[in-house]
Amino acid sequence: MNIDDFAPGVKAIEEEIGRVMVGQKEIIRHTLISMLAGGNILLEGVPGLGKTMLVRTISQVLSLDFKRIQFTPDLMPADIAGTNIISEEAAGKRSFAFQPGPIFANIVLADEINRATPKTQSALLEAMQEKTVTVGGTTRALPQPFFVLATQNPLEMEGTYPLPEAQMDRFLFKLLLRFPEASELISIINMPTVPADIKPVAGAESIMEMSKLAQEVPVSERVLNLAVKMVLATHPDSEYAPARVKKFVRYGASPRGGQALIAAGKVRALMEGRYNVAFEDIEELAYPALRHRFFLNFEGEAEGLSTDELISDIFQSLPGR
Amino acid sequence: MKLGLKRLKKPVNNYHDREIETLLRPLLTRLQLKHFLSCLLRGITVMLLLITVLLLYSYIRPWAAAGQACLAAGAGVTLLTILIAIYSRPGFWEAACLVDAIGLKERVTTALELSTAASTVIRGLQREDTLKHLRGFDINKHFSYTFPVREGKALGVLAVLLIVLLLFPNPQREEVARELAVRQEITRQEMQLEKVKKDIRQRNHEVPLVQREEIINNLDNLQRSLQEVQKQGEALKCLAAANDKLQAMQKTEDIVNNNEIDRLAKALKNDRMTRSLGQKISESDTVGIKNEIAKIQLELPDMPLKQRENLATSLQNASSLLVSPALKKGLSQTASSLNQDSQGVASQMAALEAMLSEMSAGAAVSADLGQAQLAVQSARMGIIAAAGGADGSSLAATGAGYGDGTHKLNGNAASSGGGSSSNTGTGQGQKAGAGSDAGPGSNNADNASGRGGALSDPAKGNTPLSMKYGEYEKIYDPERLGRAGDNSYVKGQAGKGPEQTVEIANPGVIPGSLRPYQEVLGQYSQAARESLDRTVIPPGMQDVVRDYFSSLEE
Repeated sequence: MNIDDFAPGVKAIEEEIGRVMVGQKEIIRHTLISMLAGGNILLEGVPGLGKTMLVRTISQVLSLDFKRIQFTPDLMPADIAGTNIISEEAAGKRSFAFQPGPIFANIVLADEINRATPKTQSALLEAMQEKTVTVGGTTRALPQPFFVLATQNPLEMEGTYPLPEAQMDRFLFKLLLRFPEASELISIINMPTVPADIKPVAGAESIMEMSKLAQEVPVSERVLNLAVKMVLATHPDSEYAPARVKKFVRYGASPRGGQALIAAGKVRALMEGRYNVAFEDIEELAYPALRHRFFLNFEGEAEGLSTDELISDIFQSLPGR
Repeated sequence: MKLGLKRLKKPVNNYHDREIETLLRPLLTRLQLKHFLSCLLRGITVMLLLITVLLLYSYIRPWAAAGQACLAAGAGVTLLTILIAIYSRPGFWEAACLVDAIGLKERVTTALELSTAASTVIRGLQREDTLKHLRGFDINKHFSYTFPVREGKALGVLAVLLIVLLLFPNPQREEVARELAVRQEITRQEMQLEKVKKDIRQRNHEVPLVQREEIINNLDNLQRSLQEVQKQGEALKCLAAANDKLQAMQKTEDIVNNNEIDRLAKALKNDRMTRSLGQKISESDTVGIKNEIAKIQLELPDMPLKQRENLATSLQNASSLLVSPALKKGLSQTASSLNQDSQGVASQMAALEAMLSEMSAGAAVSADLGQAQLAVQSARMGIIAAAGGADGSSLAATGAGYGDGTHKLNGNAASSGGGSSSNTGTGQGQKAGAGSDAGPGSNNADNASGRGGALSDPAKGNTPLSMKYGEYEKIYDPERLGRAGDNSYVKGQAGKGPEQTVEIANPGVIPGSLRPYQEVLGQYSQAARESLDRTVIPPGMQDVVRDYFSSLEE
């Protein structure tokens, strides 16, 4: 794939998804950025906003294998990763055979991920980070590309298991789905009940190529410094931390946050037709890339603060770029 | 987020891309122009602020060097501004950052950074993309020549403030003018002291070298002290200290001898035969005295009797005017011997010559000391007068004029009576020591005419240094005029003559009781006239006193 085809290619994907998804353009865009940067996504939003539809549509547009796992408290790790079962051959010989779980797909939708037990949630860790699954002592590579798109409902917290910090850190982006505007809502209501015919625009191979191209995008020291300062500023004991971060943050983002910013920034730069990462890439992507990587203390929670507000504070307080 | 130039950090590496630099040059030129204009305006603003503060200070406290300080501050700030402007002038990196911030989205800085890296496809594309955007970048649209309004406003406000400040007359200007006048006067008096030193060195009389050098050293020290001081009070302290030292050098017998020599010279000048001798005595010319006496001795053998008698009478008359017993006796014996044998005359004449030579040498020391003291007093008066205004200058000039005169040093009557207490003491002491008609009733005028050091003595504290002068200097309140005043006692100097204590009326004035000159002049004049009528004062001196007060009233 030619680098000049990157931006038109992504635009075509966005347009095709937009035929099904009304509104949520930023979510679509950020989802694509995250996927092209090779990252997993945590989608958070109330039921009915189209989270599942978005993931399904993306898989169709990208011609990727898609699996959905509905996380429930009784879901077991083997239900996700797969298990060895005894199979009997025609000759009557019995042997263990690996039965792959739903994780063996290009796109895995982990629906309501916070309803499963931590043990089951952690079954995704290796898959998300290493793109492999180990069952019965055998490690198996997952199909490429591999993305986990998890959803969680911020309202129904009863009987849920909040994701541990380590697992949260594995998601490149955390995207917050907002409720549609009135005009968007009208369009949604007026949509035909029969789903539109989705045309595949790209395939797994082109996604991999695009992802590889994006990694080549140069980043200047100034931009790199901004990303580093952004990450450092989420730490309450950092010299860059604004007052509210110092007061309300328990601990800050991990280095993965900086990696996520730069990786996603590169994709965004190419999507914008640029061959270098700019400050504006970092500014836009800091919210989805960092909002789930630092955690408020009790006072912050009590004040009803959001990490997005603190990220805004950080931008205001950061010295010259 | 705003991006100011000052927030940009210069890169450590030296990036180099000639094509990008060429495209950035027009922007860089504008950027540098704006930078220099901004620095200039800020520099001027700081300069005006500094000058305003300095001027305000000079309006509150007298500061003679305010003008120079403002000039120095202005020059310093200008120089500093130029240096800062040159040091902090923007370069290509700053121009690249600015272009990126305006709309090129870190393209240029990234390309500059990549200029030192190995070439790859995407880096080549990035550079091409940067050049393309740079070529399409409209500098006029994004970066027009604009006047830095913020700096301009601050500058305008300060300029108006400064103009308003300058429109108001400086309330301290009189004080400053006075300070400057004092400094000029200090310098002038230093030159006068130099002249006095030169006079003393060049004078051809027989003052012992040690004493002469001591006098000159004192004057040297005074000069050095005056060069270091800047204020009137300090200068007056130096002068007072110098005056004390000079006074300490003065021997009472020299003062007595000096007076005797004055009287003797005056008496001898009245006779044709001894006029020349009297002249040499008055000049303290010991060689001349010797020559004149030798000349008389030479003429004596052939001198007609009548003439010898006249000479004897002249010497006898002169002896009757003297107080010093030794000299009186010497003259009297010489006069008696004139009618006797020539051998006796010769020995008497030789003894007289030796006596006169010795006294003349002492008188010469006194004269040098007197001249030095007069110069010190003149300096003091000059400095006080300079602080006091134009009339004071004339007083200073008078003092200086007397300092250049002969050994008589009678010009101190022009001064105020501020220091009369100390000199009264000296005058009475010497009279007492001589054992002559010292007694109550001596007054300041006597003392003043008697010695050059009759001026006020700041060290004794009768003249407050910080007094405010009007158009004329202040003078002591004449509350004691016409009455006896309190008694004080001064011891005579032990040595020659019997020691005795003498009672003095009107010993001095109360320190601090000063009143403006014009207010008390009439009272002083009236008191002087009354004193002239009821006190035994030589007729010649009565006219001097009357003339003096008449001239003051004019």
